[in-house]
This record gives sequence, structure tokens and C-alpha cells, in this order.
Amino acid sequence: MADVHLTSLDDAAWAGPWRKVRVGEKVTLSVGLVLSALLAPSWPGTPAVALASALLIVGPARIPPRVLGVAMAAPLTFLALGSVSVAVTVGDAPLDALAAWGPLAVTPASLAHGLDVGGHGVAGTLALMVLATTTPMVDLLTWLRTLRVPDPLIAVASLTYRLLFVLLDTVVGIHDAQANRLANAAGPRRRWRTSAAATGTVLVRAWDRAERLQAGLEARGFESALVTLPVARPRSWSFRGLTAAVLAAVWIAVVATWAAR
Amino acid sequence: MHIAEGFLPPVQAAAWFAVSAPFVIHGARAVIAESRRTPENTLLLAVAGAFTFVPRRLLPSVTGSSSHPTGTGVGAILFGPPVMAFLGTVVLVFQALLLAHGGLTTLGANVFALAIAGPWAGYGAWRLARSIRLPRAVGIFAAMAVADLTTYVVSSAQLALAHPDVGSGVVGSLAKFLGIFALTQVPLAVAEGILGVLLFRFLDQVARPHLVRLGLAAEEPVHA
Repeated sequence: MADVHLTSLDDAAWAGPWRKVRVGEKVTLSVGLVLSALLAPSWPGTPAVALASALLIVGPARIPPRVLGVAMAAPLTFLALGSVSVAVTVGDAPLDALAAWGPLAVTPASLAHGLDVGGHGVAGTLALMVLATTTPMVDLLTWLRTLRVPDPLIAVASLTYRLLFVLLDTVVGIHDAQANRLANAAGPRRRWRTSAAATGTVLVRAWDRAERLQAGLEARGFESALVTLPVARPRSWSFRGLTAAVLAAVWIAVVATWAAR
Repeated sequence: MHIAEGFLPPVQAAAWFAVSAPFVIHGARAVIAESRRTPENTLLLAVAGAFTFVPRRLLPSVTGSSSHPTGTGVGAILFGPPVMAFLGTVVLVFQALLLAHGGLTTLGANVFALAIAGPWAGYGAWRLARSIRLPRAVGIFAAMAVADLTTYVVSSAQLALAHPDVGSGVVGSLAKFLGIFALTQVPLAVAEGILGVLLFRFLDQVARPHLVRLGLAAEEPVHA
């Protein structure tokens, strides 16, 4: 599941039309929505942010709804579990409890709090997806250079990102090889040993690959910066207008609801 | 053990960023110094960062839950807690943007639990065990398990502060979150400790030069 997420989000980001949009403009839109989801009251703030984010992703960003659905499945599960744990109170059941199981109970106040937290979580996660599904990690790392992040830090982060896929491929290969040798059918002691051997093998192979990569980079004059030619992306006034319109619409809905009370 | 996006109130989210920032900056300076002193270690640091991303794929299922090992204990032993503060932050950003696991506004809190408190506590357990001359295997087990458990306790405390129980307050909420996570995280901490011992035993056999270079093994084999 994790591998599907890892490749599908980045693949969608590479293939989508918003790849041509400046990273800073996409960060502004996504972070604006994330902050709106956090700061706006849950009604109507969180449904407004969630709806706007989902429409932007499957609409102008042209990300297949299935990709968004797969990417959101795990976070939605965590958010649901977290909301339930917030909605349940511990101790003597209050008089106004809607339901009670021994020391656990759900009250109107705790249920409202759980729904509130869950709403902020879903809206915030969808808002973050606007950036995740439209911006490849490589573009984000390159963009950090414009923020004057020191080159060695960008180099470590970039190499970490690249090695991630190598390591996960290695993990899958080792797992398959061990499964084909019936490692999963072995007893607990042997399963522990094979897990340790898999972990160690991944680390040793990663070290070896790192040393070879280091030699290759040094041969090309690498010192502490992995500088690449940035892709030229013109300023997009239409995208900036879209950002302003979406954020304004969310906050107009919030203020209008507040004023109507 | 990641706090999801939107789960912390704005003030607390900002406060955790402020608490974590000095550690991450200190770690970033350590990474810069290390990569300038010995450029070949840049790749080694990147390996450490990537490696902390994969342990969840390696541990046999203990509870069948979605919890996973933190993987920071081994990094703290191999590279030290300051470096792990920076590498852990990088990995948490990757997890938030590639897996939608964790979040942006909860990044400060997650960094504190997973990349600062866990590694420092694990490293402290490792140094304590070595200073009182306990066997290396005990030290490794303690480091891995303590790093995992500390992360779990800190995350629970962060959630309890953010969402006090309607009836029993912060204390009741802490008990609630500790109880929920204990079902999966305590067995995982023990499992991570055992895996760590077996991992270093394996590395002793096949990658001794690397351990010697990191100061974790003598020239002669040491059996855990």
C-alpha cells in the first residue's frame, strides 16, 4: 500500500498540467488552504476547504479521482480512529451521555469535539494533497534553493529522496526472495532472523550503493551541492487569481455564516 | 505514531514548531559541518535518512495494526541524535507529502516526538548502558525500545494536551491515548529492540568495517 502511495502521488504530480506552474504559487495555494482549514470554524470552514481542495485536484489539476481516493484511504482511516478516540470520554458516565460502555462514554460535547477535530483533519489533509498531487518532490527540493536553504542540506535531502526508492525496491526484492524460499512459513525464531537479515542487507546494500554513487559524483566534480538547471516557469497571473478567488470564497463563506448568526 | 493534519489547535501547533526549531537548526548545522568536513559522509547521511523510512516494511507483523516502528533508535546509535533531528524532519516532510502520513501544521509536534525526543532518549539509554558496562546487546535493545516508547509517550501527551477529556481532563485524556497506543506500540517497541539486536549481530558478521568506521565496533569481532 505504501509503495502504491509513494509512486502514485509523485507520478500524478509529474504527469499533471500543474507541473508547469511555479512551485511557490502552488505552495501559496496549498498552504493557504491548510491554514484556512486549521483556523476557520469547522462550519462552514472545513467543508468549504475540503470541497475546494477536492475540486481543484480533480478539476484543473486533472488528477484521476482514483489516485486521490487511494492516497486518502490511509489518512482517512487514521483520522476516523483519531476522531473516535477524541469523541470517547473516560471516567464515570455523565448524565447526558449518549452511550456508555463501562468507563467509556460519548456525550454530546465530546461527540461534537470529535467531529470538529475530524473535520479539520479531513479538510487539512485534502488541502495538503493539492501540493502533494501537483508538485514532484524534486521540484520542491529545487525550489528550496530559492529560499537560500544551504546547499549541503538540499543535497542530503535530495539524495535521501533518491535513495528512498532504491531502498524500497531492495526491500521488495529481498521480501520476494525470502518468501520464495518459504521464509514466511518458518517458525517465529527463523522469521525474526530473516527480518534482521533483510534489514541488515538493506543497510549494507544502501552503504555500498552510496559509496558507488559518491565515487560517481566525485568524478563529476561533486563537492557539497547537487545543482541542476531549474525548469523555467513563467509567472502565472491566472493561477494567482485562482488562488485569491478560492481563498476569498472560503473566508467569505465563513464570515457570511458568522454574520448571519 | 504521527499526529494527523488538523489535529492540533493553532496555538499548540505553533508552539511545537517553536520548541522543535532549535533542535532541527542544531541538527542542520551538524549535517552541514559533517558534509563539509568529510564530503563522503553526505551519502552516508542520506542513507541514514532513507533507512529510517523503511523499517515499517521489515518488521514481522505483531499486532496486525497500522502502527509501525519508528526506526530512529538505530539512527541515533549510528549517527547521533542531532543529525537524526534534521534527517527525521526531512523524512517526516517526505511522509507528509508522499504518503499523506502526518501533516504540515502538525510537523513541529511530530518532529519533536519522532526526531528529537525519541532519538535523544534512545541515545541516552545506549550511553547509559555502555557506561555501566552492560552487554552491547542490552544497550542496543534499550536504545531501540526506549526511542520507540518515548515517541509513543510524547505523542500521547501532545494529543492529551490538545484534546483534554470532557470529563477527566488532561490526565484522563493521557490515560486514554496511552491505553489506545499501548495495544500496538508496546509490542512494537519490544519487537524493534529485538530486531535491533539481531540487526547489529548481522552487521557484525557482514559489514564490520562500516561499524568500525562509525566507532560502534572494535577491530576484533564482538559478539552481542
